[in-house]
Amino acid sequence: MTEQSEQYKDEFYRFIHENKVALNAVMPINIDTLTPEDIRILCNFATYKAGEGHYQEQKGRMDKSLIDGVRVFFARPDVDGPKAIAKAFSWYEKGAMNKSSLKAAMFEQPEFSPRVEKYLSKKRSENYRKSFSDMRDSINNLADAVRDVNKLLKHSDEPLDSPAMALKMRKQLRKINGALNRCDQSGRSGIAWAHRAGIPMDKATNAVQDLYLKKLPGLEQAIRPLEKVLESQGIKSSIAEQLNRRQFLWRHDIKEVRQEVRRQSYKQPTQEQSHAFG
Amino acid sequence: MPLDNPQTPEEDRELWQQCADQSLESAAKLHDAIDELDETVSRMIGKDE
Repeated sequence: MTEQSEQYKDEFYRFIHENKVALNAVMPINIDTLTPEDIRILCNFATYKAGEGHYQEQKGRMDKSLIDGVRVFFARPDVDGPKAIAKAFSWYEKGAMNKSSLKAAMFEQPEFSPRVEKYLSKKRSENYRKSFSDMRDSINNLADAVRDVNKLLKHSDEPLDSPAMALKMRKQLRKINGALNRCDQSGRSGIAWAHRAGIPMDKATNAVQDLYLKKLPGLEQAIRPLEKVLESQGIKSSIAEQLNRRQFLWRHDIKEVRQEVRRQSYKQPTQEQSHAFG
Repeated sequence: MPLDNPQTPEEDRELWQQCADQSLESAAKLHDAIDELDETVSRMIGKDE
């Protein structure tokens, strides 16, 4: 074990001592014989407690302790390499550790680095696919919700200005609003991913602008008269107004999203920084 | 070139383009759905009411 690992170990054990009463509620601790399984439980416990808010004031130290715990774990001479990697990936999958912690711990073991890089690359690819399938799904959902309103209008036996029809219409319009919320989220995510892939920002935002600034005005126009009918039945709906606001916001949001992803890209830690500490 | 596990930015860009094209196809379907609704609403109650 290196001198630096010993220092991490000391810090991690100090954390355990200071939180011993709380930790003992989860498991009996013998700090001289911590096993990989003990570390796993401690990491989960620290994450759980930090998330639960009971230890907010110590959250920073807990996050650091998580990384320290992982470092101690990997520095152990008795830890089997492939099993250790599998366990670390499992923690990462469960959200018990983040990418920085994973890299910080793994880069101390140079022979593990290629496998970690390959794993993270695969994860990135999966995230790409999910991000874009979300974007596609959210647009499809919006189209479905619009079609459902059309079907309701064309095929319902109820008169357009009846109370029963008004209730059905309000439900459908709410579905449109929900679908629009998803479009918002996936649009932002898609732009951020594109930026990370090196796609020019203008090109990346074209699809979102095409949706918000070209197609939604038509939807707003179609919904306004429907909402007037709802209003005559005493039902207040403001989806058309929200559509109008969304178009306005997205002209500015796109600028903000661009700025945000640029800010994030400047904050990306270098490998040297990851080396220094996650 | 396999796209299920991109290793380089070039492959990332290809994957992004592939997904973006599919999203545009969905956007075209949305456009059609909005046109149809607009037509129905105009016919039933008029847009300017």
